[in-house]
Order: sequence, then structure tokens, then C-alpha cells
Amino acid sequence: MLQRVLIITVFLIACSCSESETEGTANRETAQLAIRQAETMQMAAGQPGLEWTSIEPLLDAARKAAVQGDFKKAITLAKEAERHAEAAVKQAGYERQHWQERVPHRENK
Amino acid sequence: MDRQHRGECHGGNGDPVISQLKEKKICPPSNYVARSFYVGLVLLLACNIVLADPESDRRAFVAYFQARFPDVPLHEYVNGAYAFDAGAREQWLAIEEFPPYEYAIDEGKELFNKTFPNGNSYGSCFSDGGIGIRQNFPYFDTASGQVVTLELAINQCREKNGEAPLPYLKGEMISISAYMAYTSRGRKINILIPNDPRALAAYEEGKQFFYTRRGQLNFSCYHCHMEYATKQLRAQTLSPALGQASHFPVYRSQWEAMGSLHRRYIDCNEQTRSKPLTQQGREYRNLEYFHTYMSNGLEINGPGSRR
Repeated sequence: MLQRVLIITVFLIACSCSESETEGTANRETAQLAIRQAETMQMAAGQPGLEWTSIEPLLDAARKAAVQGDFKKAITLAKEAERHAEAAVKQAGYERQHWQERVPHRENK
Repeated sequence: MDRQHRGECHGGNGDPVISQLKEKKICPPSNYVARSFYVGLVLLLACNIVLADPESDRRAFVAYFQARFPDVPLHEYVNGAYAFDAGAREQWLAIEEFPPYEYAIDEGKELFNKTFPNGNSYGSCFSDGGIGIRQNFPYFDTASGQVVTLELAINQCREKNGEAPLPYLKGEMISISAYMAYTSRGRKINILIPNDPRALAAYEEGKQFFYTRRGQLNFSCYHCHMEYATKQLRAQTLSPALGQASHFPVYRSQWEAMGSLHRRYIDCNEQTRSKPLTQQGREYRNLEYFHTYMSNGLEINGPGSRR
């Protein structure tokens, strides 16, 4: 019994430490780093015609949140922008290899 | 008798290309230059499969729609979704009794016939005085090595005559283009791809654009206007890609204005959450080249009206 209580206590302490660590790292520097990383990925996704319109508004919102001092929000938004840009890069790479598969051929009739 | 005549080959063990050639009893010579030649030949054949000739592409494109909609006559495709939706067609025909694009034809005619300060007019820049020529645009200009759309040619004409270029999306440009389309009604689209590798490359780029998924919603032109053609997208019936280029410029109720094909491309890209490209930029001009070529043989019925 005592052993179980001990394990649960250790687990709860670990969880609270982990959360406070995330909050602790959300400062101006980490927010700016997250925005820069998202901007880099956006540039990679910026091939004409393949960039998504969702990326720039997310980045703008992230920059605005950082200016207003809401670093946690800025990081969340920047990471979301980075995910979109990463998906755009993957889409472009996949399409370069697979677009021909949609071209109808005479025998497909 | 040498090895080749006996139908045996040696060498090239482990090389898949060489093995393929061997299976076909084509013996690759042992020296490096000759082997490279064979590899190049196979690669060239592979490229030809991807870079099918435009006319085969067009026939397959038309066959795709005819197989899907066997009851719809080919000439009906210039009417877009109205060839498939009886209710919408009725409304459209009622609108066409007092066409919302009529003002643009009148304005375009006046602008077209107006002379520049140097005494020339638009007619001086085009064959047949610019009357009844819409069906030949866009074309590949071998001198500049690029695709020239009607709107680009109008601005080239202005610049040649010392005038500032017009904005492409709306206004006078669209009126002039509408009048020129109007004088071409009933003429069959006749896009040419000259025997010039640059022209074929432009066509291929347009083709790739058409079939490439883009934007957050992951759609290509193909998905909406081939695979899902005639299906409902909210209140809209998706029009088939075949015949789409025939009725531009168009009055769209959604815009409450006239607009060019490139304005529509911008709209389409935005709807799929893909960052739109520059109107009259290379990518859209090449897309228009491919897109219009697919409708070769169908009649010009522009300017048109759509929802």
C-alpha cells in the first residue's frame, strides 16, 4: 500500500514539474525562436503555387502575441504555423512524384 | 556467328536496365559509352510516357468526360454546369435574355475602336484587325519564348503604342477582352503548340499545375473539375474542365462584376487555401495554355455569365 502511494506521489510531482517547466520556458527568447523556426519552414514551403494561405495568419497572430507578452500563446501559434508549413512541404514533395497518376489515358476510358 | 546473332548476351549482371534489355534480346555492348547509350534510350522512353504528346492528352481528356457523361453532347460542355443541371440552366437562360455582360461588350467596342494618340488602334496589333481571333489565344510566341494570353497581348499592344498597361483583373481590360470574345463567338478554339521544346515545356508546366494538389484543402484543378465535376459544392454545381475556357471573360454574380480567367484561377486557389499566384504570371499563363488546349474544337461563347 505504502509503495503504491509512493509511486502515485512521485508521478504527480513529476507531472507538476513538467508543466511548470513548460510555463517557465515560454519567454520572449523561446517565443522568438519558435517564430523563427516557423518562418524558416514557411520559406521552404514558399514555392510559388504550393504555399498554404493558413500559414501567414498563424504567424502574424504568433508575432502579435509575442509583442503583447503572451509568449505561451505565441509559441502555440508558431508551432501550429510550422506544422502547416511542414505539411505544405510534404504535400509539394509528394505531388512532384504523383501528379501524373491523375492524367487520364486513352485506355482508361 | 556472334553472340548477338545467337540471341545471347553477357555482362551487365545486376543492372536492372541491362537485364530488361537482355530479356528483350537486345544485347548491350560491353563498353561504357554504348551502355550509357542504352540507359539513356530507356530513360528517354520513360520520359516519353510521362510527356505524352498534347493531342493524345486532349483526346484522353475528352474521352474521360464522354465516358462519364455519355448522354451529354460534346458541344454542350461550353455551357459548363448548365449542361448538367436543368434547374440552373433555366435560371441562366433567363439571365441571358438581359445579359449582365452587355455593358462590357459596348464599352469594349468603344475602347477597341478608339485610336491611340499616334493614330493606331488595337486592331493594328492583331491579325484580322483583332476581330474574330479569340479562339487562337493563348498562343506560344516563339520570339519571346513565352505563352501570350489575349490580355497580355492587349497590354503589349498598348505599350507598343506608347500607352500605359491596363490592370488585368477588371475594368477596361476586361471590357476590351469581352468585346474581342464576342466577335469570336461560334469560332472553334484552336490552340497551337508549335514544334518548339519551350512550347511543350510551357504546356507541360500548365498540365502539371492542373493535376497537382495544393493548399490546405489538398485539391487540384483535376479534383473539382474532373473527378467531382457536376457534384455539388455547397450550392454550386462543379463545372467540368472541358469547355471552361470558352466563355471568358465572365460576369460572375458572386463577384457582381466581370472578370478574367486568371481572376477565376485566383479564386480557385484561394478556395483550396492555396496562396494564389500573380495574374498573368508565367504559371497561370501556362495553365491557361494547357486548360484551353484541352477544349480545342469547342466553340467560343464568351463573354459568359455564371453564378
